[in-house]
Amino acid sequence: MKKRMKRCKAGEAWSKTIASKFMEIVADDGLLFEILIRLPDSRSIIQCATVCKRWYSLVSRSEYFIRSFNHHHRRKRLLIGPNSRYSFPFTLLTRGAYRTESGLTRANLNFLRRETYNCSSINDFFPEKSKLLHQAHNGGPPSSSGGGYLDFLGWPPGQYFPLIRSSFDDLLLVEKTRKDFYVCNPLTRQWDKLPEAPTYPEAEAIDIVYRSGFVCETDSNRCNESYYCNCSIKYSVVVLGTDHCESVYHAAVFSSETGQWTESTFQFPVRLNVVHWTPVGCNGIVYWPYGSNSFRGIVAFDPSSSTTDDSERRCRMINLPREFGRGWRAMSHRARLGAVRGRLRLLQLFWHARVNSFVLRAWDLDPTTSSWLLVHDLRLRRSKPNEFWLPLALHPDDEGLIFITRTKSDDQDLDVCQYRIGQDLDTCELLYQLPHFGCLPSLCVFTLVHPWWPTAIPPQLPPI
Amino acid sequence: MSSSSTTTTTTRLLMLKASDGVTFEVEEAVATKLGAINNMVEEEGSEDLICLPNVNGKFLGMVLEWCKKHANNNTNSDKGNDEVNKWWDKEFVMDLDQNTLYHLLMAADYLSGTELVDLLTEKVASMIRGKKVEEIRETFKIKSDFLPGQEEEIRKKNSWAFE
Repeated sequence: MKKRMKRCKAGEAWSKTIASKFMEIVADDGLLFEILIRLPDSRSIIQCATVCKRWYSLVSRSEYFIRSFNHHHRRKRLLIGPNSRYSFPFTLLTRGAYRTESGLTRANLNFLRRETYNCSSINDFFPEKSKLLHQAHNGGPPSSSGGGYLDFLGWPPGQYFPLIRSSFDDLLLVEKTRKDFYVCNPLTRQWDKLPEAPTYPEAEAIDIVYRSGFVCETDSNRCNESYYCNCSIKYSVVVLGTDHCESVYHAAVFSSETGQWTESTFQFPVRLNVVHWTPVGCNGIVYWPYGSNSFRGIVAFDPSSSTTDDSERRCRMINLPREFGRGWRAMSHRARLGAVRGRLRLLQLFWHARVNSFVLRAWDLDPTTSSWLLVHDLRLRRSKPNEFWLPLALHPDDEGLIFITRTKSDDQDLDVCQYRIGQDLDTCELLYQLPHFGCLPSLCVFTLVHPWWPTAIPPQLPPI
Repeated sequence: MSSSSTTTTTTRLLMLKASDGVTFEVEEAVATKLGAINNMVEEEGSEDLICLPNVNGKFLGMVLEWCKKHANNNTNSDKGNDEVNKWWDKEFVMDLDQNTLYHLLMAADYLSGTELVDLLTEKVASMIRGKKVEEIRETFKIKSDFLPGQEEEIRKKNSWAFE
């Protein structure tokens, strides 16, 4: 080898002594930054912020830090592969009406109104796996106070109870009265009260129908790569109302960007009839199933459309998939709608006596064509003749996983189970039990999914 | 390696000289796993001797050992390679003491060995994981420099993370 002129880069001042004080000498904030974003969750990072000032300044109030943290974990998750079983922690919030002393019958439970809820109980239950929400609630027996996890809203106990209307990722839309809505993150206990929602003269009429729903989006267009858009989100709250005149709807839309409600009226051919079906926010659209006792279709409302747009653009009807079991199979407790990794998915599960199996089907909606794609179509044998299975919810972050309930004829308690699609029903994992419910169709489920970093509710801009 | 015997191109050798004068002769394909060296080779392609005044021979040796393993494993296009690399990486960082870890990290960063920095920062993060704040300070000999009350305030503001 030829001898060549030595070429040495002028070394920067790099004269540190040997490190026994490792972190103090990791001179470069960039490296410390790289170390901290590799911590597994936001909780441990925030704890780390109290180690010293330098760590605190790297972590605190930095959207850049949160974005990098999310980016790192997203990349890592992609590397593990799309089929990985890694998924975010979740919480299932279940609300149902019990049969009480006053003897609510099955018939009127199907048409529960807000008023009826007052004399039954509101219950929220947490599976073991979601201790994240509140560590104190160690999967013990469900409590009728709603688990106390919304106490941070500070409402006088007994006077108001939080009525959850909708969920999106880790945020909840909570109704106090028909005028008062709150958006909150039950994990970080951040909440914001919306300005008073508009009501209509007929608002007190008993058979006015109200629907509210909630959807979040990032303010950037990068949402495609991350369906958990928890940096600089914006959100919309939709309240639809109709009175006796069934085809006319009043829509009030709150936008976090303007801090205001916008009202409009539009024509729509169906009545959004059922109270216990929960709306699903997905890709900027709020979806409600409609029908009286059974699924008839899905209504899609676009809160971003302007009030001058025609009705079709604002609110449209999506027909059920061709293969969707009609008649008794479409009863409200045999089908569920949910957002799974940024896609709207419909699930149906019913007993088919002729083939002596349960039939499980799931469809994804193509939002541009409003057509359904059948993604699962299975026949499932039951091992015990007295077991009965019903769908409860879709896992928001694992498309192969659903929550179903099991009842036995000799035991009225409901087992809430986690089921991996394609396996035997026996392999279901029991998560928790719901006590004796008056009526299955009255069960109302909200799913919360907890991303790597909890979503921050954007500050409302004051009205101009 | 069977692959090198079948290729006709002669592998170029580079001399790397550490701060303490220790030199290493390595194949170009190995050394260019380090971004800094790759840049030097590309910019001033003719040089065969590269001085690295910021890296001690002991740690440069370890960095190059890591590069060699990864360069070799990558030339084999076996599917199991990822697994082999992962297993080997695990071994590589398993028993590193803080002093070595520190110097390796600084060297890898200085030499822009992105993958190695990733591996080593992951290792440090694993030493923080699951520890209480006091334990973290203890492990890394960090003194809290918050004014009285400041730390308490951060905890209060983010109380959910401390329950």
